[in-house]
Amino acid sequence: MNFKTRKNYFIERKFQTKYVLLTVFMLLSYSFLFIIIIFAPYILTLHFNYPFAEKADAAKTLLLLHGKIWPWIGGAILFFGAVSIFVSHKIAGPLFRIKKCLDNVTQGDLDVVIKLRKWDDLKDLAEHINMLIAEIRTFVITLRNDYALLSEYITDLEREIEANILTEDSGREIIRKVQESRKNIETALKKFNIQQ
Amino acid sequence: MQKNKGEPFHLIGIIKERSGFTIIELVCALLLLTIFILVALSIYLSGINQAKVTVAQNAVANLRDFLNTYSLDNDKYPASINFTNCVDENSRAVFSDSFCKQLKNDLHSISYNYNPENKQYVLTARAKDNKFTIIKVTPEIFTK
Repeated sequence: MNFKTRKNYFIERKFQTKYVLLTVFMLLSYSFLFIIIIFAPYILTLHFNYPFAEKADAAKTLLLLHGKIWPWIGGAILFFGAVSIFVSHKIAGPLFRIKKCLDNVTQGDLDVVIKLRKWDDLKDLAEHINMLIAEIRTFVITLRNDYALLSEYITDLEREIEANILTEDSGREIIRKVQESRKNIETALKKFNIQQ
Repeated sequence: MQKNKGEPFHLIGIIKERSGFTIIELVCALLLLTIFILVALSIYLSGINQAKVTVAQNAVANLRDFLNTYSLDNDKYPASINFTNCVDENSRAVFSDSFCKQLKNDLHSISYNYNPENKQYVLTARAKDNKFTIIKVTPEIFTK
């Protein structure tokens, strides 16, 4: 996995689009409320019976705000929309990396370790997943070792039977070794609570 | 909203139990939101138009005051006004430069007609609103 050259800030399109749209929607809602709060007093002054001088002042302020506030609101929405891509990338980037690592695990590669960048979020989750992968790796190693031992015992047993040299003692010794391996597998399996 | 028959309607229960919305709920919410936004937008735009008319009326009222001052100084109203640089027929300034600029900002167009027979003038200005509201001013009458 190329860790240092991750420069795509729109890595999880579906997740990030949802996040950006949510941010823009929230900004639009806040802008809408802000506009109502800012403009309402002036519009009310114009529509009700106030002295003409007051109406003229309100009208001037209203037009001044109308001319200046929209570019700022538009700019703010664009700016925060763009910022939300970077912010969501802090989550989407690690998610992308975790997904890729889990894909590798699914395909049988248990040597993967999720490495996140200094400023990335979800480090805690990545650590837990790394622990889980390490546990599975230990389990698989235990199984593999015991499988090798069991295969060896079976080969010994077959050889001794074929050579007709199987004594009660050697037979008991092989059974003891098999039971030891079985115990190891049992201990490893006890960790996993599977209800069938 | 799907609800079993005979089951009491509890809003908090619905909020707690269900996280999704049906298409009818979504359509209703969007429809209400659209209506609310359209009403707010129409109020806002009518407010802006009203503001443009008020600003134009204020500019014309100030213009009338300037013309009255001019008349007191010169014993007559100017025969004509060039609104490009705000000077009269003798190239004398009728109003200040700043007011001249303000007129251009506040009004869509303006015309000045002086009647030498009754020594009265008629100022006709158009506001910058979407109907270009006409404002007519004589030394005595101010009409919109």
